Amino acid sequence: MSQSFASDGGAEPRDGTSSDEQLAAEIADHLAAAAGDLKRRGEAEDEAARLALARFGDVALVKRQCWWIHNGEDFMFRTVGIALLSLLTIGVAVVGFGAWRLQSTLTSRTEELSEQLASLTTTQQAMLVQQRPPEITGLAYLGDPSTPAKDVEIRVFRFSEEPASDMGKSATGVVTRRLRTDALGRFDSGILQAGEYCVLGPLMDPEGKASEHEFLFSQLQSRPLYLTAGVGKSTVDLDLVASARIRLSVTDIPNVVTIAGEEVRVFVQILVSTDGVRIFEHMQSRPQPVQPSDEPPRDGWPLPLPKSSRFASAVQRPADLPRAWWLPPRDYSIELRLSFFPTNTPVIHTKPIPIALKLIPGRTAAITVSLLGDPLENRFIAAEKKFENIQPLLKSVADGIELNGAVAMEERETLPVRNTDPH
Amino acid sequence: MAQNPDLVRGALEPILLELIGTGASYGYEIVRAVQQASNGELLTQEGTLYPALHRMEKRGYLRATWKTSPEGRKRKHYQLTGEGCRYLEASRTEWAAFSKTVSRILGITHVAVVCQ
Repeated sequence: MSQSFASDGGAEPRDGTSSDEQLAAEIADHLAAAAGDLKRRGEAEDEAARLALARFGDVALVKRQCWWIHNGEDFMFRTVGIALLSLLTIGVAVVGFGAWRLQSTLTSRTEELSEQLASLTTTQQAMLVQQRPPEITGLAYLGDPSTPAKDVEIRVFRFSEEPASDMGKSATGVVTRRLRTDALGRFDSGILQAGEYCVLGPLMDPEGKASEHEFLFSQLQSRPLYLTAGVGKSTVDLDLVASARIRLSVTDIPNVVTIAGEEVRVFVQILVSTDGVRIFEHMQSRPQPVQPSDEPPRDGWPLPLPKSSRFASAVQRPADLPRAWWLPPRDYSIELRLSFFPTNTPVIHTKPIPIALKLIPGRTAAITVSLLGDPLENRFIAAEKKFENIQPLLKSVADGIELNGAVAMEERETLPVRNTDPH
Repeated sequence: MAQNPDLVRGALEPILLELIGTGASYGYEIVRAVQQASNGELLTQEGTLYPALHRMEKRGYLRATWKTSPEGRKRKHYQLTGEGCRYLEASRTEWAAFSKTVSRILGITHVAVVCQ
């Protein structure tokens, strides 16, 4: 806004004259008045004009200062306005750019979230799949997974959550499923509750035959496994074949001896254990699976379980030997002893002889039991002279018997031979 | 006496208002009045008068009118306004107190303060 000088009428600059022109007129009047004053004091016209101008000072500077007084505010206002407008424009641009960036970021973030959501959905689906009820499926086979064990009973044993009793180390629990394998040897427990389980299968010979009377061990126990809720199917495969054998034979031991007119039957007893004492310390009426333990079996899983209540044992008449039993290949501890069964008095056992044996698949460990020293009949005859009663007589003879067990590993399997002793 | 521009700048406006109030009305006349009142010590550069006049005109202390000089030139005349009178009175009081304080500090005992 330019300054508009007020005037009293005819002498003022005409309307529309700029403030610059008014200022110029004012300065011109000043210079003319000063020069006229100087001329009246005797200065020449030129000198008077020069002196007037010199005393006035820098005309241009004065004009600039006056212009600024009148127009600086407008100029500043305009400048500030332009600056503000520029800032506003820049701000709008920045905000616009920021908004664009924000939108881009939001779009990108939205895409990321969508991907994460999709991933989460996949994970949730996977979790839902995993949260199926627990089941046990598996394959029972004979030596090789390509040879299925068809139509055999598989039992699913659930361990009790109660701690094992003090009576032994065998587990308590129940058989929750009795299954039969299909033509491919497969089995499926169906839905189970969460808990600790193992699978029990029958021990079989290489031809797939199982005979309760032919095995010192009758079943196999799989590795225990804990099924949590939502774990889904767990797989347990079992090789049911006992691919090694023990054959027992005796020399010079009769089936029966007669003492003081009383017949005393003689038997050879073989007790087999594996993996230490674990499976023979239990006092269950039936063979039970081994309690899950932090210490796995030395020879690993599956673990053979005895067919009888307390021991994997067999009692044979000497005449029935040699006799062979199929066993899973692993380390065994064997004890052999003679047992005397009088007609009317309790049985008397000889001291057992221990044999450590490692069975190898496809091989037979041939164990021959013999007496060291005098024949059995001679021992009884000698004892009859010392004892009147049969019980101390048997005890004396049994204590004096020292058995010998000779082990030979046979590369080729030989068929068991059964004696046909009439006793 | 050499003029300190800072001192002159603070005192010039009240001086101009005082002289305009006592009759000086246009530029050169005002300059002559200042020089006479100051014994030629002030406004040695006569042009410095005009920014001060225009500033006070803009503030409303002075009102300007254009007339024709006896020589026939356009001439701008200034008159003191009521706002200018009040400003002049305030300036007198301030200046008296200020100069008294400065004089006391600087050890000047005799100060001639002209107040009307």
